[in-house]
Amino acid sequence: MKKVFAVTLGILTAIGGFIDVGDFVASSQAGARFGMSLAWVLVLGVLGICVYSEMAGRVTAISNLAVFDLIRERLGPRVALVNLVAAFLVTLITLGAELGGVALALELASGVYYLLWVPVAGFVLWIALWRLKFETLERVFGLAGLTLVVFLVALPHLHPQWSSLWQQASQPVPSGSENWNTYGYFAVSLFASAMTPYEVFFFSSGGVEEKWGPDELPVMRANVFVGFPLGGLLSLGIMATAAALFHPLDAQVNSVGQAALPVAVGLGRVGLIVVILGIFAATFGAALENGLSAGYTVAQYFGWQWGKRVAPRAAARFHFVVLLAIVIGVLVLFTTIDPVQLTEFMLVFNAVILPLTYLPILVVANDREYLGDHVNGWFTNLLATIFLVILVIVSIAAIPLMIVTGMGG
Amino acid sequence: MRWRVVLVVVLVLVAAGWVGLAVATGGGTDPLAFRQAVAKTAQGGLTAVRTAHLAGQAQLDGRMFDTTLSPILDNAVEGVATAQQELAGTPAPGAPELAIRDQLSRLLDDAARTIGTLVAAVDRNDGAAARSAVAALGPLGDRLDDFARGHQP
Repeated sequence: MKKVFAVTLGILTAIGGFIDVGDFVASSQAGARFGMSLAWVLVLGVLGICVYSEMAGRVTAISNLAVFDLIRERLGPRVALVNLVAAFLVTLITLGAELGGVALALELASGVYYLLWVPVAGFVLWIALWRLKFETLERVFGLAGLTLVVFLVALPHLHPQWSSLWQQASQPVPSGSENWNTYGYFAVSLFASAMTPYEVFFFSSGGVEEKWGPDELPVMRANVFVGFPLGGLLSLGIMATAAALFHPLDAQVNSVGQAALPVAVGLGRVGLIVVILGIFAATFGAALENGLSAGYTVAQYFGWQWGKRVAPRAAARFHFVVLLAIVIGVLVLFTTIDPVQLTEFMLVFNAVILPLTYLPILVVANDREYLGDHVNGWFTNLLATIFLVILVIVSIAAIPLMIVTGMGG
Repeated sequence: MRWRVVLVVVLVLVAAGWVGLAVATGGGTDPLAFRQAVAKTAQGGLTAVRTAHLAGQAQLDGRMFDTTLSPILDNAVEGVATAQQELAGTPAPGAPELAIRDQLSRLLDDAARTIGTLVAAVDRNDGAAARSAVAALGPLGDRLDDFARGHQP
């Protein structure tokens, strides 16, 4: 019974923790502009993150090493340094975007301008990372993020034309006045939102924090293969509500308030309270994960003590990097850059570094020195290789598409 | 030595690609660039009007909180202002384009005025004025939509 409870809790946490500001922005923008015609990208992205997270989780459970430890060990310090710089910079931008999402959720709840919430959010984030246990951080915000299921509840209340949504989903082509360049740009953003690199760093480092071993493999796989797809379903819900409300009106989504509007229209004030809580939980939870991921990557590369299991005094450099990342995230927002625009940048740069994150995982997952009999089978390798090709294409296409379309136009 | 040659070649290719993209995407006053700018501007205005309409209607139906409505309407006001600013910075290459610009400019002026009226009505808690502004935003959105559809590049 205790085991069933642990598995269920893990799955629920994985579902609620799946969504972050990138998923929220990319899904609602894509739904408004293209209806459901980009839904296949979300499905593809969720499949990709499942394949690679399972690999990263397996590597951690068998070797007791996190992804960045292995990248340095297996590929050497030079290659790993390139990886570190890219991953750390993107994690910083992502942390800024998540903090912006937290501040925007608080603005929607209070009416107080979001920039005034930014330092408060940064301070509370640091306190939470300093004081709270890893399991508490993961569970509380993962479970609270489940409230985003409100998008799926709101969808029928918007009285969408179901046949029209299905038709859009089954015809993956740009609609109306949109062209293939913008379609490609939003496809790249959506794919990157589902396969965000920090998620893998956090997932594998979390495995070390929670002391996974071979016995935890079934639980880890349940989290990945059940929790992540159901989390992806929440993203589809966000896309579908935007497709139902904004797409028929030819209106685009440029703000978090707009993205929450379908829930208010469908469910009224109660729905609005729930969706604001969901946005807050999802973005704050993701900010926690990014803050930790910043510390994890740097500490694992340099071989420092790291993690929440270790007393802060013993992992001072790890905690300093976490604090530094939060301060930089706050300062980025203080430039007054629009958090939604920052999120769009974040998705593009995430897309660029995707192969740098996932290739080493594939390499290590085939290394018998680390994994023994638990190395990838042929089917996993086939899937992973197909996804690696997609990752490379996405990575090469991201910046040209951003420039040609003027960030989606 | 070999690495340096490779590095230089890669840097030159990246720079050439970058310049090529800059030239290809650079603004100009040719009719196509004008139409692209007008379409983008009209879309910005349309999004602001539709959003203000939906949010305002939700408020009238008791489905929205003032604290949530306020930032949404602020974004709509900003959206129209940005569209007006972009249109003002788009020179018309000929007489037909000038007429198009004037037509869109009038629509955006109407949008700014009507959304502004809604914001003021909400601030004053004036239900009748808010209802009137929301009612006006519906047809205005349709006119902007017709314009945007009719002026695709």
